[in-house]
Amino acid sequence: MIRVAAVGDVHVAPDARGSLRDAFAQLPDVADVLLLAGDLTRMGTEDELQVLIEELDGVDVPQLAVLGNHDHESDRASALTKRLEGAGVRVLEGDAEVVPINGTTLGVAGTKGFGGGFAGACASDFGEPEMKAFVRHTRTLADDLRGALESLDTDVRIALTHFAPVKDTLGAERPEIYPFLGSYLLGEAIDGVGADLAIHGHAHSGSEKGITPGGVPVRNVALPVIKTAYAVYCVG
Amino acid sequence: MSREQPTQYLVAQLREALAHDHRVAALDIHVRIVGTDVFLTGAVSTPPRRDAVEAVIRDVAPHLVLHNQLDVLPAGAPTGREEIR
Repeated sequence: MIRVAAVGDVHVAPDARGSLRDAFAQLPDVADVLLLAGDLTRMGTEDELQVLIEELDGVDVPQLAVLGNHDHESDRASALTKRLEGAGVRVLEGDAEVVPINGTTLGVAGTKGFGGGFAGACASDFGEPEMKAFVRHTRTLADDLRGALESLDTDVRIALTHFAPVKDTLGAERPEIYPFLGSYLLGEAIDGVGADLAIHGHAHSGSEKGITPGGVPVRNVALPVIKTAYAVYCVG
Repeated sequence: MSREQPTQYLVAQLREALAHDHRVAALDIHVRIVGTDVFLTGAVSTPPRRDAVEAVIRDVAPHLVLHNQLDVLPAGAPTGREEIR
């Protein structure tokens, strides 16, 4: 059994310094790995990210992350990724990482993902170039996620995204904005390969628990949803 | 002839301001205007950010009576865990 701690949408900034440190310090006692489901910062600046890095300083569990839309706001995503990796946080974008844990292996495939909506009420790759670009961005990331999952031959396999792969976990979000919260293409990729768990954030007014059409458990770990510094799931 | 701005456009302007103002950068604050009153609901990470939301609204719409009903999110360690079956 692998204990997976996960949280998204911590949106750190200098005003949040110290707010997560005590809870993160307990991680080695309660979890084998920490997954960060994007929107680590408020505006996507390195100054903000440094606050999170300091919160995680000395926390001795493997840490993996995807970025979120807020982390792209200042067009510094590459710099943020480099800073995180320098601090020991593996940042996934269309790739996967294998973590050995107590004689078993955990594989995590990750992508930010993107929007478009859900089957039956979604954007189509049709019409203006801007619309095509929107949908194709999601499709590209979903294809990358599928490939990353396929590359894993591990005891436990988890898909980590920022955007939602299903609408099950959108809870009290207004249906009008579903296309900006996630895409069925992500869920389709996860179901196409299979996984033990799918974790996402982004939907602050969502609900924690859902399932893909193919039966993969989905958990929305946005901090405003779980209302704790992280949730812990035992998998495998 | 000047016409009074429909309320929903002002709500949109306030939400845009909350998204783009560096003090807040939040997309999920609920803004509702009733008459001359503006009600803010939702949650933010810290008490200073709650105050910053209020400051942004006052900058954009100083004529409205502001009701800041935002919650500050807890960020403690969880007390339990879930076994995925």
